[in-house]
Amino acid sequence: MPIELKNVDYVYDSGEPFEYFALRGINVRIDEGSFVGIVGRTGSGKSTLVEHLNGLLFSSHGEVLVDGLTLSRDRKVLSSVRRKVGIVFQYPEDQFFAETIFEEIAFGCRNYGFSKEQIDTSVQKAMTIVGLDPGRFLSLSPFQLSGGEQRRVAIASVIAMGQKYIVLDEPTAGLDSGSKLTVLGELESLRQSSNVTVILVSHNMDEVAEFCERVIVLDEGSVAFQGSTEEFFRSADLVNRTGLELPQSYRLARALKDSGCTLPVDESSSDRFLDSLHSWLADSGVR
Amino acid sequence: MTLRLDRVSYQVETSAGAVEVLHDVDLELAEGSISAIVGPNGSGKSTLARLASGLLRGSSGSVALVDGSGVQTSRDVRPGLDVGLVFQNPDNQLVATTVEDDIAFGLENLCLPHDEMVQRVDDALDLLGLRNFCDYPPHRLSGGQKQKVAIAGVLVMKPAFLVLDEATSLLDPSNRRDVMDTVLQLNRELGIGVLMVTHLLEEVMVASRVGVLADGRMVGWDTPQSVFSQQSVVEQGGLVLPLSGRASLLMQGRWPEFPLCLTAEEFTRAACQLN
Repeated sequence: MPIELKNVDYVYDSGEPFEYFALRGINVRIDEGSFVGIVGRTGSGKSTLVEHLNGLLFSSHGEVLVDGLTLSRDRKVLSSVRRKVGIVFQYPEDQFFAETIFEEIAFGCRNYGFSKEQIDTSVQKAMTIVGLDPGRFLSLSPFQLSGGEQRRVAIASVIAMGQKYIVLDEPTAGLDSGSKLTVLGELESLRQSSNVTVILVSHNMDEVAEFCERVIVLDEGSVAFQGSTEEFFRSADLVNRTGLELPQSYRLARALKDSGCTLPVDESSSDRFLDSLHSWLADSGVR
Repeated sequence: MTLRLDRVSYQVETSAGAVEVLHDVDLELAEGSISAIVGPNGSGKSTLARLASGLLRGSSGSVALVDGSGVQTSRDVRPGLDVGLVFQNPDNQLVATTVEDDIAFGLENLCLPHDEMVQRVDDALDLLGLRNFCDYPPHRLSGGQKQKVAIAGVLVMKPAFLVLDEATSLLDPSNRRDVMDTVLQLNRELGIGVLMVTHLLEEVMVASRVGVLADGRMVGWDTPQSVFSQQSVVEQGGLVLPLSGRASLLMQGRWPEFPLCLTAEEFTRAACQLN
């Protein structure tokens, strides 16, 4: 079952002088088990859209369906949807309150009535996914950590709850380049092993190209493109018009092509670019 | 004026005893220069940014502005006035109820003539493209727009150095370029020195010098080209080379004379010469 938004508008301060359409006529479908990117320039409505996915905001018009269930303010509906959709916010570390990292990550699990063993397992697993060594970090206070480490604890606290849909609002801003790739790579394995759906809001086109099969592009509150990530990045005009930039792999492939250099490379992401270059070098080495 | 950090260490007390976050860090930022600091999460980058801007005092060592004449007229850094700091998270430095007031907040403490204040705020609004939001409450802006307000509030103080602690990490690419262009323009035209703590390669590449922090120690301080060609520094700093660089390393496996290229243009040129 998918998450669907049908004709969704969201108006801030409707009827007041500051009335502002943050979302307008949004029709979006996110399939179960997919890795979807949500991109668009600052202020294009990405965070507002994401807050509709588990009933933090309710559309002014239109409807949001999660696994066929229409979102409403009804408590039963809300708790059922929130059990399925977890969101990691832009500055998740602002919500820290527990004394130890273990308690911080375990908090959500306790609310969902996990057993003690389940909590231990979930916390350890989530920490591994975000690359925090449980032995070193479990008993520290989250406030003792650096910005990037705090960000990882916050991501872990959502992953630990084992929700079906995990939404990450710019999770990798502030992570070092190495851990960015590790965290997203681990989420991809989680998707493959447990059919978790990953929804990634990002400004980093390299990671979108690497991990998201599909992409939803927002521009001034409307959907400017929805479909295969490769198709989007192949239309350089659209990328430009929506205030985004091409991933490194597309830029490098294009520079090579423009100068008439014929390296047979896969432009669709940095890793695939390097893999294709590597196999070409291996093959041509034999000759 | 040169901004000089001399054998600066910084310790914090934890339940497990004292932990040294930074150890004997030396750094010399020339007047009007652009430098970058990179390193893994937890390596001490933000602590260094706070020390360099006078918000924290080191457990030992000194942070001072030194007169270029060689005469020892050094003085401790005054936060905000000598060195302005823009934080990772703009919510940490936005205080007023409108964008305009927020940008003016620091200035109001300087007893400047009213016209001068208005002029500086006006310039900042234009430079950062915030004109249309000047009456908005800052908390109503998106993350990236808030960050621009924070940068504007620091710029109006006209500090000699600007320290950006991952200040563009939440901006979209076009806004990020905007902000970086603005910072570079300020650097060029007003001679403001810039120190960027960053994970973004494009920002590292505009710096004339890059410092690499690992576990609280400065393990490299050199040009970007030179830092990226030192395998051990790259590893210790947890750096990921730009795609052109990683592709160059693969090419070197076949053609050992292939140069380490850090941009698409360099790589294309080198690859074309093979054919």
